[in-house]
Amino acid sequence: MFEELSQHILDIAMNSLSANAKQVQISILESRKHDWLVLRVRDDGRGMDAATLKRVLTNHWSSKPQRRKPVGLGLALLQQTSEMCGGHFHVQSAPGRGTSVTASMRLSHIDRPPLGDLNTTILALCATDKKMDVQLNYRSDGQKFSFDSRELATKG
Amino acid sequence: MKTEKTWKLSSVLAAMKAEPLTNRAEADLTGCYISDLLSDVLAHASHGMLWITIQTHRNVISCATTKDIGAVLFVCGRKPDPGVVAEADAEGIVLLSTKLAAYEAAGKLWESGLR
Repeated sequence: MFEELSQHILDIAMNSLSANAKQVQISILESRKHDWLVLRVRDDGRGMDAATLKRVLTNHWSSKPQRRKPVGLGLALLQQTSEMCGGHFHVQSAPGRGTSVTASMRLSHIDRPPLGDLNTTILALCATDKKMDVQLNYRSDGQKFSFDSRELATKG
Repeated sequence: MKTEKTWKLSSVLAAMKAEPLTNRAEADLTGCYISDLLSDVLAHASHGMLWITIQTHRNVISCATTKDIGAVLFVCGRKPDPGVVAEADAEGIVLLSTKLAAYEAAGKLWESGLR
């Protein structure tokens, strides 16, 4: 649980970076009409096998070898936030096939953290020394916004 | 060598009206931190502290393990699921529960000299 959802997004997308992803796609759907906020972070990194995925989700970082190394912490925290706010949490991953993390929550839930400073999150992801393309797709009931770091690079 | 001031958990248990939930019920406390936001605890709590919270999610155990927390006190009568207690037992983390609210429990601790 972070104070802002943008910090959760940064945390999850940093996992993508560690997984040597070339591209990370962040999508945010915010619908007042349906009372949902859905976050998805999808990458083309090395992915996780079933055992690793199970460990980070059910046993996560308390297992001894990982002790004091917060590996997978971000997923466990986002899962908690999501479920606390009446939503669902799902991770899809396979070795060599990337990872997709989806977290939903009720937009109106009183404990739902605010989206927060998304600009800084995106900037931080674009400014890492590894070469990872960052795409953002934001959608609400009446608005759409997208960002693609590759477009930025060609204009550079 | 700098010696750190510590307090025996057993000496403040009664004041907080706390009951142990885990097999282990003793720890050397170095201080206290109160927060319900896990990322805040990761950022600001330090080893040996008594952590006061209303959160009973299993992530609390992971958080306490990572930060070497002395003991966790659940307030307002909250108690985690048995699975969470078992996990704490396996990790050697002390869990306690009290009917007092965080403010009252902290006040009792302060009065007991944990400062």
